[in-house]
Amino acid sequence: MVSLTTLMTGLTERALRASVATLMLSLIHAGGLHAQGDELDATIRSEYPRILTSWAVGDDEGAIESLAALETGLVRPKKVDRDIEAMWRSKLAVIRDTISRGGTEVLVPIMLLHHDASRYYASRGAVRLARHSGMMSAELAEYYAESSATPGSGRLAADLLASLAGHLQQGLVVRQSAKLYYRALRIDGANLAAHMGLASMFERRGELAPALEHYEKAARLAPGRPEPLLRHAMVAARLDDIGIAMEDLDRVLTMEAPDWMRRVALQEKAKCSSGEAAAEVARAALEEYPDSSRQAIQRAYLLERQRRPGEALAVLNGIAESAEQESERYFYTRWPDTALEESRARLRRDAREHSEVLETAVAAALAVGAVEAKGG
Amino acid sequence: MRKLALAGLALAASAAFGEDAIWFLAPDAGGAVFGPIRISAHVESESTVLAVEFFVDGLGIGVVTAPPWAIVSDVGYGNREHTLRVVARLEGGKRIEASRVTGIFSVDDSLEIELRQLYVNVTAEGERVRDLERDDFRILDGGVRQAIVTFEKENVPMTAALLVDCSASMEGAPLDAALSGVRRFLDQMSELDEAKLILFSDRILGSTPFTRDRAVLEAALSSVEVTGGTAINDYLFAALKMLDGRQGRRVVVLFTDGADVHSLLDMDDVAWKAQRSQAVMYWIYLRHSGESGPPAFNSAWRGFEENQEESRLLRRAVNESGGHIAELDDSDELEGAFAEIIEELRNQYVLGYYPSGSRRDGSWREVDVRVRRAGARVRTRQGYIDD
Repeated sequence: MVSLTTLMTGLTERALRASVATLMLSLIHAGGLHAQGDELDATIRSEYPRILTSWAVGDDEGAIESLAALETGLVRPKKVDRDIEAMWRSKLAVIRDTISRGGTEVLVPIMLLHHDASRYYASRGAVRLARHSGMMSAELAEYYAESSATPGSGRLAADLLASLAGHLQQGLVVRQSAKLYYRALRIDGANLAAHMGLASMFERRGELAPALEHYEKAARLAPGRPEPLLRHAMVAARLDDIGIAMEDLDRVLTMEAPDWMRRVALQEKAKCSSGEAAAEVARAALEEYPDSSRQAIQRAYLLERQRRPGEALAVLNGIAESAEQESERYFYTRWPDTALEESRARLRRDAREHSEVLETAVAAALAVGAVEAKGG
Repeated sequence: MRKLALAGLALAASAAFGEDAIWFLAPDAGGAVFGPIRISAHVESESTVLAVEFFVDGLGIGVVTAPPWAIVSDVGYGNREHTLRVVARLEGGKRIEASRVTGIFSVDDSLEIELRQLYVNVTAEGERVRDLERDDFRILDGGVRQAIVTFEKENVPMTAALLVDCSASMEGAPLDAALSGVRRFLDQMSELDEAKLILFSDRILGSTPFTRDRAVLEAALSSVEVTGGTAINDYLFAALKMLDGRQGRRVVVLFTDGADVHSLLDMDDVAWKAQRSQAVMYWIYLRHSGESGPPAFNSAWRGFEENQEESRLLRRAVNESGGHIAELDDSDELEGAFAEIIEELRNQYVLGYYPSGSRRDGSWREVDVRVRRAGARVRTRQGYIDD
């Protein structure tokens, strides 16, 4: 199995810069790149600005459905790659004209549009278009980070890349997801969602050293949060660094944390302890969560190991027969998404703040006839 | 013994003179009894016998209204005396009764040594061998031949914990087939058998107490909804431990369509318990399509090799317990797999012995059972931890 670390070593600065440079070149010369007289190009140049306007005025659903209808209609089944490339160029030409009227800030809502379109396509099984939209969104974000002089542009671009990565991670598209997380960190090394996403990916693949490193960075970036610490503790324990794990777990248990995190922390603390100390943690945990079958099982197991079989049996006989609503350990195995959700919220807020700029720029471009089927 | 024989003769003589009388046919007076035993009596009377009531240690255990005047009861595995009483109700309102006190089993070692039970399957040329008697068996524990103190066969009562994986991957046909299998298992249990259902995923989705009441078990089966991942180890440990508190033959039937992902306990922890338990474990494993070896995956809790080791340890624990693993590729085979297990359980020999030479030092004691029958194959617990 090729490790993610090895894979990522291949994803060099050079490759990333080449990707951004290509896009920049396309944006500068987009008009000259598309095939003249191409019907596809004409359609894009006529429809795409309307979609951007619709997106800018807040008709999110309508804009995405229109974009999907447009693109799906333009892509011929046997010429998917060619048509997607042509669409890309034509859309870039429109974006170039829009930038020329409104500046690079118009990219903020545009990249979110393609981010969301990617999700829309993915949920309908349109894999190629999902990938196209995702890549376009990612490259616009990187271009924006390179070109914008606005403070926070790097953070915003990294948020978008991390969000795209998070969606791919949910779909278990591991390598692409990891690449996007790294691209996010290249722009903003303090992106919490990217560190958490990468760490959990490494953790699940059993690559514990890089997992520990990214959780450690995440914990430093968000010192008041229990999740990075809890996960750091779990990985440290798997690496037999029990001292570190116990230190982390103790800190988690002093923090305000959701029930599932607290329950996992208590379970793992008992596992990292021995003898009477372990039994005491398990006893207190069961007292705190008397309806949890798992706390009861851990308590019973430890009593059994202490040769107290009668007490162990009594604990298990106390387990309720009704269905339990949730499993804390199931929660732990989900990809961590708190930081991602925060990134996405920031993205939407930023996109909303820039929507007027986009609306004005598209209108200006249309008014002067800059966005026409054969313009440029 | 002579005195007892004379007592029986005296009763028979009373009956011969037209007096109503009742006396025990089994078990022997003064003999040690363990686990499920058959209690039978003979009634001599010119009146019609309406019913015979049976009592063990003062508790009524059943009423029989037609001959043979016999009942099976589980007296547990404590090495102690039991007082048995039978009361016959005769037409006209007359009641006659008899009592018998059983003995205790004497061994050279301390009496605190637990009676060990072995559930033994014997086959020859693919067929079950059902006609063996106590003397046909030889038990070697740690290489030392043991005295067989209890011997039962055919329909020996049992207590079963049925663990049914109801994780999300079981949705649809697999769950329906698994529940049909469980129902078939329950249908074929005998009157004295009892079962506990644990319907689990990464948590308990439903369970019952140990019960003989089919309605209670059916209610749990009919209300389950699949959801979540799989936590085999935690609930397997719980089942093994809860069986410690039950009398009689103890059985775990685990059904799952996947490997453990979410457990807090490692399989090593469960194996620790299994090697100290007397329960036999069966594992029905519904493989995913295209799966040939043990499930191989990484998870948030364990790495690839650790997960493979978990699976290997579960297999070993099942085999050591004397049970077996049914690996299926199609949910259509599930009902048959459950039926095969109950069929096997109904035809087991149950041998009990007090291990001589027990040192309680935490060592592994290998158990070997041999039978006096050419070509016979024996499957039973392979050993246990002596502590």
